[in-house]
Amino acid sequence: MFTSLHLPDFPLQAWLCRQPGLRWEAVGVISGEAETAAAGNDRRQQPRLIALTRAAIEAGVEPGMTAAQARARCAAIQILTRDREAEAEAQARLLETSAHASADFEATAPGLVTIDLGASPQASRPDDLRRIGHEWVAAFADRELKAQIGFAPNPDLAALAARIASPVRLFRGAPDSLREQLAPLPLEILDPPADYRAILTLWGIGTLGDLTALPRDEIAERLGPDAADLWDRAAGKRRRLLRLVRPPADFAHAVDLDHEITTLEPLMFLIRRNLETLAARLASVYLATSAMRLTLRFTDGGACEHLVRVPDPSRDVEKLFRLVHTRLEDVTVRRPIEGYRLELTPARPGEQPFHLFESSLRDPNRFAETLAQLEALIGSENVGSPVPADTHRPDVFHLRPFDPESGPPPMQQGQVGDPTLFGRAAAACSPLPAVQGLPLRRFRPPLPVQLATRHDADSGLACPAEILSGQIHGRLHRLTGPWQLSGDWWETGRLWRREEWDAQLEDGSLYRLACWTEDSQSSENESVTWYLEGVYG
Amino acid sequence: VSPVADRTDKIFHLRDLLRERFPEAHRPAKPVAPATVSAPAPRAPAFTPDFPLGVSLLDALDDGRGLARGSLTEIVARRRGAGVGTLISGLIQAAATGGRRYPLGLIDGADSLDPASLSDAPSAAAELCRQLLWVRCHHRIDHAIKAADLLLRDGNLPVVLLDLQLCRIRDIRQGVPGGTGAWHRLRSLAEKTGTIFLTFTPEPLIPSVAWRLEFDQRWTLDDIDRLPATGDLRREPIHFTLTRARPTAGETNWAMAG
Repeated sequence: MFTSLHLPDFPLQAWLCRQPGLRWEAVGVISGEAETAAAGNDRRQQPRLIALTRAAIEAGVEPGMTAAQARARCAAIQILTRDREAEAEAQARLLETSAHASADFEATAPGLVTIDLGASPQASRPDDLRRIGHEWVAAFADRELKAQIGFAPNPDLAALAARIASPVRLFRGAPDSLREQLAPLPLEILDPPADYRAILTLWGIGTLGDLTALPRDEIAERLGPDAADLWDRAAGKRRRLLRLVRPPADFAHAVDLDHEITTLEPLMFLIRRNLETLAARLASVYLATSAMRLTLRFTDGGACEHLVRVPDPSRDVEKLFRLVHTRLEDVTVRRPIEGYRLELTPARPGEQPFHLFESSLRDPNRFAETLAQLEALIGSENVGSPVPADTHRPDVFHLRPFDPESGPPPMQQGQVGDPTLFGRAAAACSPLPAVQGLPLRRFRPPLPVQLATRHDADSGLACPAEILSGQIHGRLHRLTGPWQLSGDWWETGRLWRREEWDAQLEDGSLYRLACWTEDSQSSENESVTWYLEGVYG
Repeated sequence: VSPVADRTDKIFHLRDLLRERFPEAHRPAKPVAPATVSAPAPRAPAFTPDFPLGVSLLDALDDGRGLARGSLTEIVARRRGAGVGTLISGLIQAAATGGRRYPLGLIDGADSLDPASLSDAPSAAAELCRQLLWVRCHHRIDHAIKAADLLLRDGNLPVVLLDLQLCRIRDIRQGVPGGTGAWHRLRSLAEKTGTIFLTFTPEPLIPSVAWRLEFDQRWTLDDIDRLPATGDLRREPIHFTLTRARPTAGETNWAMAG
C-alpha cells in the first residue's frame, strides 16, 4: 500500500505558512518565467496566477488570469511571486513527516510526497488508514498547512487519490473495482499533455471511464506509447518504483540566536527541540547516536566545544537531553552565547543487556551521566583509566576515558580467575604480564625529608642512614640501592637524573627514597633534596 | 558462714541454673580474634562465591562464600605498607584478567595508585587498567565520599573500592560530610544496588560493617625481587586478622535487591 501527502496550492501555502494573516485576504501567487516557459507558452506572454486564496476566488478572480485581469476583478488583490525559500521549508516539513512514517518515500513533486507503507499490518485495514490520514491532516494543520492524503495500491493512484481527497481518500480493491471507482473522474486530473487533451476532447472523452472504455492497444497505436501510459494511469494499473529520498548524512543543527543567551534554561529548551529533530532524522534511517558534539559560540568570537558520549547508542530524546544537561549544568561561561551547533554522530542502536558474566555495564547511559557528575565534582583530569607512558621516567601517565567494553574478549571460564580452581596449577596458565615487584603506593606530591647519610666503606658512596624529619622518620633498618636512572639527555634542557633507594624502617615498612635533578647544568655541589616517593605493599 | 559468702554461693548457684536452662547463651563465642589467616586454605572451599572477585584472600572468606553482593567491608591497616596496595593491585589484576572480568571503581583518597607498578611493560599495565575507573581525590575526603555516593547510587560497577588508608585519620573524621551517618547512607546504597563496597582505612571507623579485616603484613626487601617471579598479586598471601564477621547480612540484602 502507498500513500501520498499533498499540499494543494503549494506556492500559496508556503507563503501563508510564513504570513498566516494573508489567509483571510485576497491574495494570488503568480507563476515565474520558468513555469510559463515550461508550460509551452510564449515567453513574451505574461505570467499567470497559479494559486488563490478563498477571498480572491470569491471576488471573481480565477487561476490562469494575468495580474492585470485579476486586478480588474479585484482591485485589492495582492499579487505575490513564488517564495522559493518558503517552499523549500514547507517541502522539508513534508519530507520530515514522511520520514516518520517510513524510510522509503519519494518527493514526487513540490508539495507532493509518496510513501511506501510496505507490508505494515495497519496498511491492510481501511479504518486504520483513514485514522492515520486524519492524524496527519491534523498535524499539518497545527503547522498552518492544509494537507490532503490519499491511499492506494500503487504510487500514481495514491497521488491521484491525494489530489482529489477531502481531506482523506482511499482507493482499494481488485483492478476492475479500481477502474469502476476511477471512471467518473474528469480527465483533467491526470494532467495530460496539451496535444493529447485536444485530440481526446475532439473524440468526446471527458472522464477516465470514457478513456478506459477504449481499447488500450488501439489508443497506443493512434496516439503513441505515452497514450498507453495515460490509459494505464486512468485505469489505476500503472506501477513503478519510487525514487527514494534519503535524509542528509550529517545529523547536525546550527543555530544563530536572535537574542543572546546567558543562562542554561533557554539554551536547554532550544537544544531539546534540536534533539527531537535530529533524533527523528536518525530514526528515519534506523540509526542512533554514539556521541553528541555541542559547540557554543560566544559574543566575543570565541567558542568552546563539549563532547558528550552516549555509551549505549540511542535516539531517545529524554536520555540524550539528560546527558547534555548533566554535562552543561556545571559549565560556567563568561560571555553570552550567540549561537551553537549540535552534531550527532550516527551509530547502530546498541543492544546492551546485562550479560551473563556481568562484563558490561547495566545501564551505560546512566553511567555516562554519573561520570559527567564525577567530572563536574573533581575535574575530568581526575577521572578515567590510567595509561602509563612508555618511558623510564617515574610516575608519568595519562588518563583515558573509562571504557571497559573496548578491551579484548574475556578469557574462557576455567582459566585463571575461576573460583573453582585453586593453587599453582591455575596460576600456571595465567597470561598475566610480569609485575614489577611489590606495588608502590605513591605519595603525591612526594614528601621532602631530611636525611642523615653515612659513608659506606665497601662502595665508597654516601648512603642514607636515617630520616630525621617529617611525618615518617626513623633509622633505616635495611637498604638496597642506589638505582641510578636518567633520561631525555638527547633533548636540550629536558635531561633528568635520579637516584633511588629502597629502605626498610624499623617498624618493617618499606619505602622508596629518591633524589633527582631536572637540569644538566646543576652544580654537583648543590645541596640535594631527598624525597619519600611512596610505600611498598 | 558469713552473709557475704552466702550471697556469693547463691550467685554461683543461680549462674549454674541459668547455664543449665539456656546452654546456647553460655556457649563460648566463636573466636573471631585472633583468627589469623595468612594464606588461602589448601583445601577446596565448601562453597563458591556469589560474585567471585578473583582474589583468593577475599573469595576464601566465609568458607568460600566470599564477599556477598551489597556488603560493606572495612579493611583496616594501621601501618603503611601493610598489604592494602597489594590487595588493590590484585583486585585490578583480577578484574582485567580473570575468567569473569568486571568493571572496578577505585576512589583513591590520597591519590596513591601507581599504575606503572602493575606491570613492567606500560602497554600491559594500561591493558590491566582498562576495567579500572580511577577517581583521584587528592586528599579531599569530602570529594571521596561524594564520589562513592555517586558510584554506589549509580549501581553500574559491581565492585567499588574507597581507599582512605593513606589519609590522615583526623582528616577523615573531619572530612566525612554528615559524620557517621554518611557511612550508613553508603552502606544502604551498596545494599540497594548490590555493589560490593570495600573501604580501606587507617583505623576502624565504619559502624555496622559486614566484614572488618585488619591487615598487618610485613614485607622484606627481598619480597620486592621475589614477586616478579610469581607475577600474580591475586594469590599473594597477606597477613590479616578478622575482627568482625557478619556475612549473612549481605546475603539477605542481596536477596532484597533482587
